[in-house]
Amino acid sequence: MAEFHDVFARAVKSGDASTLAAFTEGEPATKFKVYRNNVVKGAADTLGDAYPAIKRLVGEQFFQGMARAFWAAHPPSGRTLTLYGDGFADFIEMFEPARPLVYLADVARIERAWLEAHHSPDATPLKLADVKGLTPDELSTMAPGLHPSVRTLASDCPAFSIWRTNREDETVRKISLDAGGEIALVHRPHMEVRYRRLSPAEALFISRIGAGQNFAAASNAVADSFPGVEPAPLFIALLKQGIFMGKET
Amino acid sequence: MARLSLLSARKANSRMASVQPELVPAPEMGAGIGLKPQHYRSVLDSREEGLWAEVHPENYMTAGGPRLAWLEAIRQEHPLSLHGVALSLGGADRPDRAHLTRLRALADRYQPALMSEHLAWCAHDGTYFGDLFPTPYTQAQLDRFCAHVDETQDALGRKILIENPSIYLPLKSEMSEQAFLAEAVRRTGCGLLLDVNNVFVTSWNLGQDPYSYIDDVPGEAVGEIHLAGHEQDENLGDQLLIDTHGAPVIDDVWKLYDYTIRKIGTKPTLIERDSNLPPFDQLMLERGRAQDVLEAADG
Repeated sequence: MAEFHDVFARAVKSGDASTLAAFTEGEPATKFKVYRNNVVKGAADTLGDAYPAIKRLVGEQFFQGMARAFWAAHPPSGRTLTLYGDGFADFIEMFEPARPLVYLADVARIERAWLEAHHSPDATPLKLADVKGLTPDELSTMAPGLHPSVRTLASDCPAFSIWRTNREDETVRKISLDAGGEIALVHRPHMEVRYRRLSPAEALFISRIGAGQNFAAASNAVADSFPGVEPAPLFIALLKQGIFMGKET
Repeated sequence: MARLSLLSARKANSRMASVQPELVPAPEMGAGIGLKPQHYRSVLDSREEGLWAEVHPENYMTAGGPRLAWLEAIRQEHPLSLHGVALSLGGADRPDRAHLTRLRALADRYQPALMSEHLAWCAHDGTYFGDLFPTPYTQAQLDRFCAHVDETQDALGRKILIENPSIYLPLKSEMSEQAFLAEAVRRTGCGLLLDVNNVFVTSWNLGQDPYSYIDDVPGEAVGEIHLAGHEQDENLGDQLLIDTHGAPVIDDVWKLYDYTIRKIGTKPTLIERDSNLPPFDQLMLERGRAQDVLEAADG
């Protein structure tokens, strides 16, 4: 009977039901389509829910085609579709019909970051109150790492602005590609996903903390690369927003 | 409704000696609804007697996040059912061990009143298809299915309910679906989740009598009933009904439900709605109809 499952699974993947006739009562082709459609549409709808801005940017029909092509190349392997779509952004980048939309893959990366942050482990971020009693030395040598939900994405185009207006606004704002690159921050300090644009100095600070450096080293890196930026208020702002990992409770 | 609760509790107790206690639902379970994120707040706040909630555990197998927090809160107010879709018990391969471990962890955390899966398969050779495929009702497949149910029940440390599927493509078989399920119950001690809409859809698609299907079901093994809406296939029209969970329950299915309750007694009953989700109040009207049937039957 293992043979039946092999044949059926292959037919779902290929869409060709002719090999199934040995196992079915009557001609299989028309009714088999229901299963194949459920599978492909289910995967495409899952991607559509996870990538609403992409769907809005390219339209339902184009999205369905792109999602189905992704499914054919990367069908799910895990037993839940909740995080299905890892690699969708890379796929979009190489997807020939989407090539003219140079921002699309980066917008997809932000969508993915939102999904991952939404389902990331719950953890208490470092709070201002946690560091208030510390000596300057203690604070400088602290290397808390990032809160597990934190995702940052640097793009050569205004991908964050494009993503945001397509996610939030009933009528999308016009965004010029000449506006240049943006860095997006997506994270979930508590139960709600938050996002905003980062300055290059903030992004540098975050990446250094993420690499395991302490607050002094990250501040020095900012001071060296961005002479006009004051690291202290930048640090305080990030701390208040819950970017850093809190103490184990 | 308080009266129904007491009656159900007494009935359940008198049955417990002969039936596995895991199969006897919590006495306060009347009619429930499939829990959707859009309705989290409304379900949490609802004080409807007998209301319970069912989720696909696969949607809660995340590291963290608001879904888990909502489920935790709702679990404090209403009985919960974990209705799995990904174990692939009708498949060629053994149940995925990592998936069983995650399922066990969810069950330990949320202590569901009911747990169920399907007479179907959805994964093969490393690919997860996310749909419920049909199983040939053969002796060889029955042996394999029962081994998979045994392994699942051992891993979970409890009995599960098995749901009858909607069939679109009839497969060459050696026995009826009812006989296959009854034998699985006998061999593994599992219970049944009787999906009355699936009985209707399958019977329609195969040209069989849904009432005689109900007559064949071992009623004492049924621990839960599902009701849902179906739609016609977009190409084949009324020649092929599709179990979409995207429409209200139709009158013919309500009639079949009435018949079922008269025949096998009251069972926790779920209104399943997965797409074209109506507002909470509208869904609760449909749920109220099932609740009325249960109360009338017990009263």
